[in-house]
Amino acid sequence: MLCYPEELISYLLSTGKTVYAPFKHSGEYYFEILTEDNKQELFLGGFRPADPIKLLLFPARVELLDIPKLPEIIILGVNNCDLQAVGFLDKALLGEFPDPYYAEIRNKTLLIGIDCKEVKGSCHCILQGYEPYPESIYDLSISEVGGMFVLKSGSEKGEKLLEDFSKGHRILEDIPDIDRVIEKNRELVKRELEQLNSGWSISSHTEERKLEPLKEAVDSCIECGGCNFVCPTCYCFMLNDESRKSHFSKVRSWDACQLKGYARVAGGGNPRAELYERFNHRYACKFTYTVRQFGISACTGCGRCIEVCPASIDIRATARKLTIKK
Amino acid sequence: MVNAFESIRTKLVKVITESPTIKTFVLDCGGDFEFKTGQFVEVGLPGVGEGPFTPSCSHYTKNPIEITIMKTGYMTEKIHRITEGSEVILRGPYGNGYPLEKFEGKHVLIVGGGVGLAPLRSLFLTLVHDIERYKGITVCFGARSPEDLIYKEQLKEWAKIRGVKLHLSVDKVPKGQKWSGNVGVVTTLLKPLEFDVENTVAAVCGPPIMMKFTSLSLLEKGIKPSNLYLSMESKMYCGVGLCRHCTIEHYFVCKDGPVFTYDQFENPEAIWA
Ligand SMILES: Cc1cc2nc3c(=O)[nH]c(=O)nc-3n(C[C@H](O)[C@H](O)[C@H](O)COP(=O)(O)OP(=O)(O)OC[C@H]3O[C@@H](n4cnc5c(N)ncnc54)[C@H](O)[C@@H]3O)c2cc1C
Ligand code: SF4
Ligand code: SF4
Ligand code: SF4
Ligand code: FES
Repeated sequence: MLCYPEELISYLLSTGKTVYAPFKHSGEYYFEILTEDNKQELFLGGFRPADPIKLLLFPARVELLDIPKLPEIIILGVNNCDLQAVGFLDKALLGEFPDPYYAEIRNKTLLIGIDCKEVKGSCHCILQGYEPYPESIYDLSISEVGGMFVLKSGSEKGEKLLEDFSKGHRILEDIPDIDRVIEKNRELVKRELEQLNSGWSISSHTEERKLEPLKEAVDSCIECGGCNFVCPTCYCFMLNDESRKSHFSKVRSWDACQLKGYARVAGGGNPRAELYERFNHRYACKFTYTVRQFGISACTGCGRCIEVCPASIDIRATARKLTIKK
Repeated sequence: MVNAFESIRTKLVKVITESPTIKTFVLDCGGDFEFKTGQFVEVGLPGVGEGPFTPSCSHYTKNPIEITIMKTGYMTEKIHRITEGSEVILRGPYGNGYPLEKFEGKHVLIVGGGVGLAPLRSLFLTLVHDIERYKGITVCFGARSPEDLIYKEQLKEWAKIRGVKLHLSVDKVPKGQKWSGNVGVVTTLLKPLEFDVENTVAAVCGPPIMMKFTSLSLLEKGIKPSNLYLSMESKMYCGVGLCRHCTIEHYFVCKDGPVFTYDQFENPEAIWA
């Protein structure tokens, strides 16, 4: 289905839901609330925003006992690396005992994915076995062709939105060959990514990697935990009881496995007391443990950890150093 | 949807002082509390915090239940200070528990140290409930000093049960304390033991270092790694496989454990803190 971008955006705004969309500031994208006033400045199809999508779906600090009724939201313009991260979080947090806050937000979220037309130096979704365009998890996907949006639904929610939207708006039937045009655009971006990542090896997100623990690899890490916090799939959390007057609450807040206190048990015992043990653990978690636990790896190749790292540690290089060729 | 973080409120009906650092808390759950021996619960004080603990009573005892807690830090210190009538919150039970069906027809060797006796007392009392199902039970318990040995009075009763053998040891006997039994770490109790290794299962719980050396010594005696049950301790928050804190290798201790067999781990040498 083809539509005019302005019409889709106006329609989304008219739903009364909170719509987040990417805006550019000093060379980076950020999700911000879309309004009638700023809609001219939004930019769709850029590389992934600086902040991970978990910031919207898995806030850094929330109370878990009395989950407030949350508003419905639409996130417009989600890159595939973040869509796949949401898919990963769904597997991790909506199992037998769902995280109640995540479940509430997730139920009320509509994800609109988009083909990447830009890539960043740290982008490496293809190395993890993902494509730079919406593959799954999206409710609706957008491919831009000749100033028009080609819309595809990926879920019932998306189908419903398309149905409602098509009622009062100009919808064009797909023109012949449109798929080939989309394919060609996608190939161009893929080629750029391949060139950018030609020094590294290709893997798949369902393949379990054997890793050789290394001591040297961590020499420069300063244990800031940035790589954990900025990662769209890192979801480790702490749970603390807090009390205010007669009310008490359980507070869930992000934690980071690179930090020393993370695994410490009572009495001071620590199974990962040395930095290199924590460092290796992070990679084992991403590429081995989560594949066993949920069937997919916990890296979608968004590259944020590369850019945030004050020690310039590049996950692509580390993963190669650690991987034992099977 | 069930909110796994919601707790039930229980009432503390009795506190038993077991040692200078360990107390047993008897909790009235208001109704039957179903759990399987070896499973754990999250025990806490509203607004203070919570932590994982295994009920120390038989799983046939459904109310009140007993939980034995060692004072090691912030929250356990607060728990040690509460008095009868206080409110204690509880969620669970979580985890797998001991696979008792695999123990049937076998000799069960129970080896514990320190507060590790808590889950093992639950296991022992549960086994004794149907003792005819097992070939026999051998219990080896260790403590740092005679004063630190818990459940002292009950242990005397256990030794009288037919089919049960009990061996106790303390690391050392400080001046002023009396002890007539074995002195030495708990592994010294294992050395002279003889058993049919093919038909013996062992359950071990205690401080990491004790678990490590006990495991090695049992394996040396010929116990099969798949018959060696370890109750693992790791840092826990959620208790239900969400927070990731408890992972050892690719396992969630809270969900896949806390009871594991030795052969489940790829690199068992590295699992002890
Ligand atoms: C499955 C299981 C069963 C258990 N069963 C029993 C039992 O039956 N009886 C018993 O006595 N114990 C048991 N334990 C151990 C018990 O859970 C801990 O001793 C208890 O939670 C310690 O609580 P605390 O607040 O007093 O300890 P604290 O030492 O104050 O610490 C609380 C938690 O925070 C961590 N921590 C401490 N300081 C820091 C810091 N500076 N930064 C970051 N983190 C920190 C600790 O590792 C601990 O996990 C069990 C543990 C497990 C996993
Ligand atoms: S990592 Fe891939 S999907 Fe993500 S922004 Fe870069 S090119 Fe797009
Ligand atoms: S590990 Fe790094 S590249 Fe992979 S998903 Fe996390 S932040 Fe992105
Ligand atoms: S961002 Fe870099 S320096 Fe900071 S913890 Fe991660 S690897 Fe270490
Ligand atoms: S305690 Fe949270 S995952 Fe096990």
